[in-house]
Amino acid sequence: MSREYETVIIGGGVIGSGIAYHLSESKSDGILVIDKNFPLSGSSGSTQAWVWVHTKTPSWYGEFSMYSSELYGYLHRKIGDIEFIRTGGICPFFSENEREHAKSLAESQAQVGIEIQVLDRDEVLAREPALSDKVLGATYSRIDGNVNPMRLVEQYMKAAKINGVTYEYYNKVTDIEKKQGSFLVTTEKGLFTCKNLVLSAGVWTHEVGKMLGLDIPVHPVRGQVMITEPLAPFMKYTLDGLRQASNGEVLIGYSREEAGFDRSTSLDFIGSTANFALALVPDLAKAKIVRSFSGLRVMPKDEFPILGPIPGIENLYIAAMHSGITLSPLAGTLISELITEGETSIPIERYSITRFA
Amino acid sequence: METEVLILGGGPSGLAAAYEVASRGHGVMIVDEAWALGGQLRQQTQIIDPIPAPFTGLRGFQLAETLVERLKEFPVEYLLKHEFIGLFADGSAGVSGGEKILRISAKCFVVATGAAESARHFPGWTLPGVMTIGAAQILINRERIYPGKTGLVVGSSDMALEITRQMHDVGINVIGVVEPTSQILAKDGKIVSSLQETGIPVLLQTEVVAVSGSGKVETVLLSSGNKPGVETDCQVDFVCIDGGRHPILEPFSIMNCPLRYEKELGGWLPSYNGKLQSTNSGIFVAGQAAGVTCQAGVVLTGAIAGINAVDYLENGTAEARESCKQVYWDELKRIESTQTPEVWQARMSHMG
Amino acid sequence: MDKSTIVCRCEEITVEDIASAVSQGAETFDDVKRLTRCGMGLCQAKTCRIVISELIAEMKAKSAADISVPRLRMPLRPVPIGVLAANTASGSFVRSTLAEAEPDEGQEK
Ligand SMILES: Cc1cc2nc3c(=O)[nH]c(=O)nc-3n(C[C@H](O)[C@H](O)[C@H](O)COP(=O)(O)OP(=O)(O)OC[C@H]3O[C@@H](n4cnc5c(N)ncnc54)[C@H](O)[C@@H]3O)c2cc1C
Ligand SMILES: Cc1cc2nc3c(=O)[nH]c(=O)nc-3n(C[C@H](O)[C@H](O)[C@H](O)COP(=O)(O)OP(=O)(O)OC[C@H]3O[C@@H](n4cnc5c(N)ncnc54)[C@H](O)[C@@H]3O)c2cc1C
Repeated sequence: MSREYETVIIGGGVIGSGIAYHLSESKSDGILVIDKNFPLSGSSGSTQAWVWVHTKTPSWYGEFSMYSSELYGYLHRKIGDIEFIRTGGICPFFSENEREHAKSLAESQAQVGIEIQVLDRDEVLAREPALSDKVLGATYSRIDGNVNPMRLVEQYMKAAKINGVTYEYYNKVTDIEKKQGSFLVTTEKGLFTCKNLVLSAGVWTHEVGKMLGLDIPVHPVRGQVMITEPLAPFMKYTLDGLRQASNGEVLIGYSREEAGFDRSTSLDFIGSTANFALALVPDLAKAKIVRSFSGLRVMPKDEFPILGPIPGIENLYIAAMHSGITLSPLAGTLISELITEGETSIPIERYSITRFA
Repeated sequence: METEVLILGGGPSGLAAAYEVASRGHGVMIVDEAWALGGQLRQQTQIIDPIPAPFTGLRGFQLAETLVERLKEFPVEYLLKHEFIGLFADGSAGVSGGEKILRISAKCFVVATGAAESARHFPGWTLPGVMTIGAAQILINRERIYPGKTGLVVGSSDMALEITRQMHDVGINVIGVVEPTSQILAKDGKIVSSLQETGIPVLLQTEVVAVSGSGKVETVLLSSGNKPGVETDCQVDFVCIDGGRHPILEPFSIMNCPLRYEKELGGWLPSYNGKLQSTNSGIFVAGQAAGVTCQAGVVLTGAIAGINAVDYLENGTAEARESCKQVYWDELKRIESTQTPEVWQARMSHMG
Repeated sequence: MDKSTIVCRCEEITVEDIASAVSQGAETFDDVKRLTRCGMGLCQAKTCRIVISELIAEMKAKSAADISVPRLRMPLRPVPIGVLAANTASGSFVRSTLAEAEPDEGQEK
């Protein structure tokens, strides 16, 4: 087996696999993805998986998310069915003073081309009759939707493999060294060398960065989600905090907890999320919850993506971000542009790791 | 709600544990999702043997009744028709009675949630009329409903042969017991000879190729290792599967108890030490949840777990309790190591 | 076992589906579950855990002890949302991305 690669990508979640696929579209040789488990065991397999744009602020970040979401339209044609649906997104509000807030959001996002309508009570209930009649209004945007994250990562991997990408599963990277223009990547199953190295190890990117003497400011933030039995389709839109998947299950939850790497769930969460669900969609009272899960959000210190080259170490790149499902097509495109052309089609300086220096 | 020892599961092991705790003056609460106590013993009509005194000579359901009766003189609290569904962040148990979630805090837990039956798979196993052998027993002895008129049993453990005999006794036509391996798996000679009296054949080295029928079981296709290539059709209206049993793991999983694999105890089960205590220290394990064994093993592990829970509450043991435990361990060793030596050995190695 | 035999009845997953996940590199029940949805249905793997773990072990030429147990999650039984909500402080959890959004105030563009 050849142990020399042009590019090694550490981490095969939605970000790493997205990069592998996009890079393999322009450059088919010498790409290796290494994952310490099987991909989807990290954040990408425990996610709500909205492709979500309209409440992303400041507007430059909204714009960035919008570009990525627009790529989804092509993505499923290229890599196969990923159950992407542009449902439109609704953020209901229940107090009058939020209406002004909604309007100013609509105005500010309009400047970058994100269309948001501020709906009044009747309009939002006409669109989504399942919503509580206590709703006073909502922001609505056509641009939002959701995807099946398992299919997404699976199809990225399949397409990348067809393009010649090699995957190493159940192989943990334990050390990295840079010597004479190459990276020496030590794993549990031996040494690999490469010219380009991409760090996309999700919440573990901090740990991987330490191998190169870097202090990458990313930490885990727990998110719990609970899931109903399959219900007959009754909701059309992706609601803020709750959506019905194509198989009829409703995914509910929007928690952010500082709990380190602990992925347990608890009844406290399930109880309060049940309340949240009823406040939004009272008809859910009889729906049964069959399971819950908990995942780790990949949270950079200022919550914005860390994306681009790492200055000081040539040919080293990083892609670590929350909202990685939404952002994976764009992150994949931009990192592969950097590797193949040395520059990107849209500016990404804002996302450079240098901002933490 | 509050209690000292919360027992999850009111089957024979949970009831035996409750007795040891309550009779020593400590508070006990038993939660069970069924409407009656007794667990899987409630539909067992055979005489339980071997079983330590004072329970000898009782049929399964009578043993259950006796274990329940014994508790009457103590202030044990019962929550029947309540499902244990999970834990709160502070470690208290969440129990659902169908209207709301009750929060129960306890000083320690005895988990006695039993074992589940494993399935066997062949084309057509999802058709109505294919069921586990235990489910058939529940239908017949508890619900008084017969699973069908003519049936086939797949698997030859003690439990399968015992229930086959019970089906025969109520007038169901069992055309045979098929066993894929080359020998009968049942270990109890009395059960085997009692089946032989019925004339029901045990077909060794025989496998189910498929079950078919329109909307329900009508035909089973069998193949025999003795006649390769030849497949035989049988007309039946139900098929019972004996795929063995395995400890139920969900409660342990959500209580963060480490699991270990021990083939002879039914596969994966919670790790526990010589006190039947999980690595997660306030949790004791009893009955089939602590490894698939005979009824005596179920009752004795329940009793031992119960005494250890008392030690836990009192921060140490007492001489009387130690000697009582010793009696139970001796009994357990005597019965398990003669009935099922591999189970006893696996238990010893499991406890480390 | 026949390729078309169903092993997870809730999600109608066959032996062939499991084999395809394993051929992609999946090694544990959880890996296979994420690719195929086996064990994600109403019974939450209570019926299929053993047989699917055994199949994976067989396909990977490993022993059953090497196939780790899938994460089993609460609630242990399906429970209606109304029941789960009945005993908790209402609204203790209502937050929204809208409330958290911070529209530009003209300073940054
Ligand atoms: C509850 C929840 C809800 C979410 N909702 C959304 C949403 O609605 N929309 C959205 O866009 N985003 C959402 N996210 C965020 C999104 O899921 C993540 O941003 C995304 O999955 C991150 O992908 P990743 O590839 O960086 O991480 P991962 O999927 O975790 O991949 C990292 C990989 O690196 C591997 N790895 C780690 N260390 C090593 C090592 N030393 N050697 C080899 N391999 C290693 C891991 O095994 C892992 O497979 C949500 C997250 C959570 C937790
Ligand atoms: C259907 C069936 C038939 C059997 N027939 C025979 C037989 O004929 N001969 C034989 O030797 N053995 C038989 N057994 C084996 C039987 O498991 C033991 O004989 C014995 O009953 C085990 O006792 P236990 O206390 O460990 O568990 P069980 O008797 O199974 O008791 C466990 C109790 O826990 C309760 N429980 C489980 N989970 C929860 C929860 N989440 N919330 C609330 N309550 C819960 C259950 O309702 C049950 O009452 C059978 C088993 C089964 C499953």
